[in-house]
Amino acid sequence: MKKEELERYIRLYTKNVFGAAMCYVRNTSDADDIVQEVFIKLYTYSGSFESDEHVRSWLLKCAVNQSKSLLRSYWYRFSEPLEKAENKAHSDIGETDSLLDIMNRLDRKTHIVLYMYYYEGYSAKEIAGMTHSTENAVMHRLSRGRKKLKMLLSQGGIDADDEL
Amino acid sequence: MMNYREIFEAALSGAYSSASCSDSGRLFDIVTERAKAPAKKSTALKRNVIIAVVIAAAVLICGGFAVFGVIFYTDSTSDPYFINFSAAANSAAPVKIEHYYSISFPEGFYPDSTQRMYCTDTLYSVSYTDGNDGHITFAQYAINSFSIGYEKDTFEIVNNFADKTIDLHIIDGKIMTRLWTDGNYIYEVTAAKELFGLIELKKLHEVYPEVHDLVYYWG
Repeated sequence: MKKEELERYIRLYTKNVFGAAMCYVRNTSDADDIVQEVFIKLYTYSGSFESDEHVRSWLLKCAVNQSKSLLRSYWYRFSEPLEKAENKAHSDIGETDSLLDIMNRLDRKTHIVLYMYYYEGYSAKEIAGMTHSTENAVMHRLSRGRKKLKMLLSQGGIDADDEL
Repeated sequence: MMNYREIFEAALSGAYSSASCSDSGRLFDIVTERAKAPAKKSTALKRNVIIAVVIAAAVLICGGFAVFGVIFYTDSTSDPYFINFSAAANSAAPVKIEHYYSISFPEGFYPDSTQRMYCTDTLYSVSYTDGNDGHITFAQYAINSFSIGYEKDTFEIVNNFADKTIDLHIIDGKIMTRLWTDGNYIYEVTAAKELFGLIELKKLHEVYPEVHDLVYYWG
């Protein structure tokens, strides 16, 4: 891939990749790493893409795979992320921290499904393809996750519009 | 009332703005630079490469050709910020050595964490330990790997400070190490991670000018 294309895709999709990674790893340091790895894969990928949308879905699928791989790693299973440090030297997330915490109470599979559906706008079928799952399983997680998230948000004093 | 997309957006925005990847220019630089390096090897391969390099280093040391040394040793007590790095860097002034050299600090002076860097012309690594409750992680493995046969004090550190994490990366034929851990010293950890997440160490000067004196090379 040309550098100009890479630069453009970084501008367009970094946040999306970061968001998908956060569903799994739940700390910015590891999500940062995954973003780097994913874009390195994109940069060195020799295949071609049909459209920007194709690139986006490729990146998100790559982020999902990379995140799962990290979660399986020996290092990750026997270490704690920075954000879990008992005495943080600083706090840089601010008011949305609590909202992020709420989201992180969802189990990872449900979190990524909700993220892909509501934030990225993918269908259950497309999400199933990205997460190596079945459409039925995705639908089930969506239904269950929506209820769980609504309950968690409600506990956090946030009302969610359930129309979507 | 927010819809779900807005909720995800709000939850993500805070974390994203604090992540280093939110700087797209910098991310582009890192990605293009790292892409020049050989493909990342699997953990098993990394482990094998580490062991091979350690054995080679041990042979060199035994043969009297050592270029192996502690570059710095740092940790913190009451003030978990950059100043500790600087202080440690000043304390642990680099000395060119011909064999393994341990920089000592008064016992109990740095109870919470340690950092060490070992260097040859083809290898360097860093370990970070923190004195909280004891997870034995990859760091111990790495430290043990780097300490086969000639670094007993490292084992003592492992025993005393069992909570640590480390991540090894092989880039451009050299072992680069990035490290972070839980514990009390986020800034230290972040700085260290930034340092070793980048290929060119001089970039540290741009990002973390306060701590660049930490890093010394020889060999």
